[in-house]
Amino acid sequence: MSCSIPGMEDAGCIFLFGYNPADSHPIVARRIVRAKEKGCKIIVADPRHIETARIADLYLPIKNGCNVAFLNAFANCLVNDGLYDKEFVAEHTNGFDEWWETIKNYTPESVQDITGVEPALIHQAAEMYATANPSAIIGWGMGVCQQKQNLKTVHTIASIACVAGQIGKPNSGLAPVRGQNNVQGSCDMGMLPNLYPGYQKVTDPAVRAKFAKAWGVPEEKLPLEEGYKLTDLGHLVDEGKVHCFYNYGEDPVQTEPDSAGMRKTLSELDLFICQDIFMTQTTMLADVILPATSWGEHEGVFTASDRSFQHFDAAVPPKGECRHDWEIFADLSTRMGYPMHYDNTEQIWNECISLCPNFVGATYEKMAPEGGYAQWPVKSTDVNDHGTADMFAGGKFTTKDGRANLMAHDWEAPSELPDDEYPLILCTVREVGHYSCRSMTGNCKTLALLADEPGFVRMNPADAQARGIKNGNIVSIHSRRGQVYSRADVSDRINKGTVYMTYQWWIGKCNELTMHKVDPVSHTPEDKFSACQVDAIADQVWAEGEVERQYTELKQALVDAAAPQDVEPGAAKFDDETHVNQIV
Amino acid sequence: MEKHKVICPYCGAGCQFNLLVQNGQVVGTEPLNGITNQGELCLKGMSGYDFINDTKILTPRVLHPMIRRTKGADLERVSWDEALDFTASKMQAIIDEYGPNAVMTTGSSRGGGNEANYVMQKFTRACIGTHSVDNCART
Amino acid sequence: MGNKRVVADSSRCIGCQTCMAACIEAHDIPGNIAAPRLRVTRTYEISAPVACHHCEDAPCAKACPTGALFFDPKNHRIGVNEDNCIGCKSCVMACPFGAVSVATTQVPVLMGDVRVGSQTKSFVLKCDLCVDRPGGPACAEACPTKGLTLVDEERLAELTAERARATIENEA
Repeated sequence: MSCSIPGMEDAGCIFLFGYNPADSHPIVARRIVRAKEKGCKIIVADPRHIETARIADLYLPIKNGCNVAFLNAFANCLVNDGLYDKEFVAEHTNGFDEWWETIKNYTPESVQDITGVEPALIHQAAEMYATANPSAIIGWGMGVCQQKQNLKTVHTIASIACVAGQIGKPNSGLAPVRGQNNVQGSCDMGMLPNLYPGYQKVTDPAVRAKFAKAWGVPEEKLPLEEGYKLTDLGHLVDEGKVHCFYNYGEDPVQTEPDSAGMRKTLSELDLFICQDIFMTQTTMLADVILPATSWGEHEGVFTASDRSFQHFDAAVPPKGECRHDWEIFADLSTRMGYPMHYDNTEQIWNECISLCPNFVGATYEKMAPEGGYAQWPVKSTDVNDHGTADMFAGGKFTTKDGRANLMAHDWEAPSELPDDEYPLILCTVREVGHYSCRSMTGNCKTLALLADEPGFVRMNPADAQARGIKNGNIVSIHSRRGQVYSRADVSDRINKGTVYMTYQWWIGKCNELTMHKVDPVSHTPEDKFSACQVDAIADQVWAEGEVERQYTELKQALVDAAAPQDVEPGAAKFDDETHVNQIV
Repeated sequence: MEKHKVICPYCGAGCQFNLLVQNGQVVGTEPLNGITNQGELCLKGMSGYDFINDTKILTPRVLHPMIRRTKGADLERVSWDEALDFTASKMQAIIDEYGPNAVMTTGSSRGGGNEANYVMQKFTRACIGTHSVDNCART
Repeated sequence: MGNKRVVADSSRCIGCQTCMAACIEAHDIPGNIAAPRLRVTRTYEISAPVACHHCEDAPCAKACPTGALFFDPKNHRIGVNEDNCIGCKSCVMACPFGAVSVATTQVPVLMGDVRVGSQTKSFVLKCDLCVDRPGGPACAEACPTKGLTLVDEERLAELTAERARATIENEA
């Protein structure tokens, strides 16, 4: 985010595009409610009439898959309706004329078939956004990122903020809110094949020299070429390029598209290592399982979506033989000939921030007290300096010439359009009371009581009625990839022609249905758009029983997979002998 | 009752709260005045703590290292020494045969934290010698 | 002093169900049933949790043949005595707000201290105003947007006076 979460409530306008904060980040949704009460104008563009649409000043019911076309039309209005900030464009951006060459072709009228939105609404939205005082923020989520043209959509949004001059001042700019608690932190720490910690390029020889020196390795050890991306694992294994996968704290069988394809990939590895806290559908396939301490059993730093570093303590001691993740990595590294030793997380953190100019002021001391935080860029260690709430102050960007490069792209249709066999669009969304692969929240009593398998497929009353489906029925959903059961949640807040499945469910698992189709640059999958069909099941008693059977079977398989850990090393053989003796 | 300050491990809003601990079990939460949450929590922050106690409602915690000695063999509990030596020798053999890019690692965008991620990427880069480390920001 | 009730401000409701989670936790104690007593309900335009209105002349309590629901003037509410519930659902039919439901659960059958089996037991599920909870209703305390308030007679009198003032200003 270029702005901060607290600052959102002081914006003059918040434009939510493909983002449902009430389900993904209730505490951000709270800021939007407060912003509204302070007089902020709210614009929501979403195919669903989401919670925030209820309190919006302007709601634009866009069609699924229209993103770049819609935003181009919005940008077109900024210029054609005389709303853009000529001064900001002249002083802080490059490439306006070239940008306009593409944008000029997209009037709200010309793309109405694609966007499904009355042109007048787009004109009004552009005016509300551009004229907002003192500032406007565009917030987006996976409705942008998990589409075919995800990166291009982000370029377009960022260009809109620049052309409208709604960036580079307090409480303005861009608010891509992160899905998981520490996605921002993973990126900050260089868990990316092209970046070292602190967003320093692996292809930059000076950066390489710095890290090689700090880590005590010859420069040749650190390649100048980028590594492979996670979403390419499948074909890299197929092509014999990758043989070992060390999966740390993720459950790709649940969270990545095309689960069947992912299971096949993992089974074909020569060595599959899983470091996790739970037995999951991914962990159970591993050749090596390394048990780690859970949140609550270790301390550390997370980065919130708005770049705020915050420190968390350990509350309870580790269970069983669980070790801290960093201890496991350091121990393994030492055994492989590169000794690493740390006494505690603060030592690690201090090494990290010493190598990252934008993080140097984020000391443990600053983060220790209640309310403590440090928001990067944070360059001073003064405990009263919490860093930077708003980036790009005064329109100074992080490019070489300090100016924003405007980018425009033509709209492309989604990859898999509905047809006679699969007439519905499938879009994956989030369950408010569960999180990610659900291994954590699914083991919490209250949250499991509020929502459980087989999850929900949300659909419009017309689509339900046409198929003889009643609210609450178990239904069968199938696509070219697979078939699952889930429970119909029929609501007029859902647009006709599209069904929405929450992605946390292990039985009602939407990723058995989604396809592995990624953006060529960001390699993010197109989870928000594929084709499916939903069928009613006449015998609901059978259907409920079948779901229960599948769920019980899966839970038993996970218990069985974890059972060997109850047999102490060396004891297994002895048991076998006893067994043989008894038979004799 | 002990209280320990934590940051929520669920969405990216970064809410601060206390974990309440009694007899080694996490028994509740109490919101704190964090910069983003101002003393408020959503249902996940408020009620999402008891998985730490290994409730086995959905699936059990893994508490001991386990390996498959050969591909497709049953899992077997081993000591940490054996698990890590086994992993190191298997991984080294793959690097020796196919080069460092034959190994891919991940970060975790969830409960591990930044320090654990930092050490993982340092291991990947400085020990294995590849930049093939990635996280789930794409999914 | 009349009955109190928890009132929802739908303009602040984000449908997050934190109130329901808080309600479950408040009732997750031995002898009670861990289930929400209020339910977030949605139409196209409105979201808000629905809970018992604690009517002064409550049709549910009047309909209950066993005293599982009863007038409880001491606590300014319609009280709940789960042990008495026989699951007849007269209260569910009588409530004009859809705020009462009946659940069943398995409870042990004891012979002395020995468990000899289990039987189905009905529980009426309805807001009890968390009268045994020091902080008052758990839902109102937990709501992250502060969209739930415990309204008593004093607060109602204030509201009435505010609206009466607004009325004369509007009509003047």
